[in-house]
Amino acid sequence: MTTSGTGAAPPTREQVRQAMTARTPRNYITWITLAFMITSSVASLRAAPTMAVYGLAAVFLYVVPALVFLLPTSLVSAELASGWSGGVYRWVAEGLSKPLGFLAVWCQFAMTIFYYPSLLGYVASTFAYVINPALASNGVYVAIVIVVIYWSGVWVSSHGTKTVAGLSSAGLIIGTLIPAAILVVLGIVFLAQGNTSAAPMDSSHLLPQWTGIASLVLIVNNFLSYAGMEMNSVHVNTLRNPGKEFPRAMFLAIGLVLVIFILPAVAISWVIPADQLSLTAGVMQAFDAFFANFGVSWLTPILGLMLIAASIGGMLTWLAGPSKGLLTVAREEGYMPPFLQRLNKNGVQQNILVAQGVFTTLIALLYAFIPDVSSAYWILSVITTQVYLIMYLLLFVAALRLRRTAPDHPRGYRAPALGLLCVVGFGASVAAMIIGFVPPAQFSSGSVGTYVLIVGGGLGIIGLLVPWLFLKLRKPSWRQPEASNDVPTGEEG
Amino acid sequence: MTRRWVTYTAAAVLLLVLGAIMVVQFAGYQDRQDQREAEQKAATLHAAFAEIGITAFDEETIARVLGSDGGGFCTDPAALVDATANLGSTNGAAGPGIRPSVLDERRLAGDRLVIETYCPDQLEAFDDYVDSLRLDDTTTQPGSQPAPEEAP
Repeated sequence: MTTSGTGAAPPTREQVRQAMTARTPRNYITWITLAFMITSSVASLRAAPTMAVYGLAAVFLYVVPALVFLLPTSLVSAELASGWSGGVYRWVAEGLSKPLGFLAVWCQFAMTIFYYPSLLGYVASTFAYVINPALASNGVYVAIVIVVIYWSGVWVSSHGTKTVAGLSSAGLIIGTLIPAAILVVLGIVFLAQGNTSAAPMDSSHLLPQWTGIASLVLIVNNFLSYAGMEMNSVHVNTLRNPGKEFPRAMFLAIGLVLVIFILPAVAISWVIPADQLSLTAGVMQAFDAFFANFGVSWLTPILGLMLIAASIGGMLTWLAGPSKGLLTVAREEGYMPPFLQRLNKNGVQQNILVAQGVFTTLIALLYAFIPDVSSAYWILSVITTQVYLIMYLLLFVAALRLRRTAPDHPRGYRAPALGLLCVVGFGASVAAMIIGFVPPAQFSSGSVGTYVLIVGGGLGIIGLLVPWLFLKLRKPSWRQPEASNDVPTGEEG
Repeated sequence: MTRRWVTYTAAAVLLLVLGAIMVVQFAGYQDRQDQREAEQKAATLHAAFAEIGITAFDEETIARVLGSDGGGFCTDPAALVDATANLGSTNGAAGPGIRPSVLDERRLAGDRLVIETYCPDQLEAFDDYVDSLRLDDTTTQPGSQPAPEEAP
């Protein structure tokens, strides 16, 4: 068992080799736990009030993206994960090339760096809503919340996949499934009491109002609701029988994600008219209004706590996933310096997490203390979703090629009509990327061309230039092929 | 007890403590609201909504949610920017796919009325913010669905 920390002394070659060949006792997780991790990464109640505004049309706004994006990404990932371990890097490396495999996992990883501050900013505002709303605009408070929770998450992640799996599953149950059930039950009670649904529930309201390009933006942007379904496939070898169990986990996750997104949104729309929902400042106020209708406002702080638990659980899965994929490629091809290839005693890529944490902390501090940064943060969310879409494009092309180049490679699951799934998924990803270049209302200054330049420039720098520099600057000595088959899976104790 | 269970136990205890703080603080915050002022402002806001044809919360709900100080609406204009980004102008994602989507025009009209009623000193900042938005047929929609004739 090897150990390495974040000490200043550079590691010797032997230390690095030992660290990379460290094996830990295999601690399996169940496929249900993995399904919960996948669900926790993607779905929560955060979007429910937003989508409740659309009433019955919320079903359409989630089902159409599910058909063109959720099913392709999930089924393709299920097939690939049932045949190859290592997640998206391995799939793209096998199907296309190793540098493109690195690009794919980099895009997945880089996106998360910018995701954490906004996720934890939401946690900070949820907590502030309950204890003192004025805190939400206090930079010191927001910075403390982001930094403390992020680094606590890193500490928890350093204990290994199984610890993360347990906590994120608990976060999903406590923070999403239980409150979702409460919302739906209250909604049913509301109707059972003889009240008329606030949103019309007849077939003529199944589709959202068509208002031209804005409607297209609305529908296509919702494709990204399901971004992240493939991420936890990097943990596939923590299952006892990955070939059979991963597809099961994915199918359960698909069902849970759809239920979590659709049912609570519709339940809220039964109780609160759309006009009222659009008058609430933030997710918590919308839930507050929902509970106030039933005279159970005391549930608001409890729900706030639950939402926080769900967000932190989701964050843990994102900390543990893409960085593990990056570790795989770093060890196999030496795309990263030895320092970043180090493992801790639990077989966790601790130094990648710490390096990521330094950037995240810096961004979080800018986010918290510079109003212009927090006001403009939305543009980073656009850029990073664009970067993430590069990974999806590569994923679909790789899946298609692997069916042709390795048709006999053993797979526990073969997705039906894979070619069609890949074409539809690829098309949906391209559409989402194109819509990403349409300026939203927040982009007040400059022309459309300027916006395209900013988003395109960010996409080029984060999604292409940085990984190219890693490839360009790598040294042959960083490569440790003897460690390439050893992917740490679990933890001690 | 393994180290993993120590972590689980610590997380559960932390969550319970946090929950207790949140329940107590939330109750305290609501108690500190001036009930009479809250009801007066709720009635004013309700009437203002009705005037522009927006289906409003009933007065009791408005008083409970916005209190006498407007709650999250009146913390400061920057919080409103966040609020707009958080609700009404983002897509349906709850994970890393979150990004700006179309803006519901009713939201802007309603927000303005709330600020006018609860924190008029911030109205100018809010108007400046709205003026800075790029509002056209690619970024806004007139409202998702018509409300039913009989709202509860």
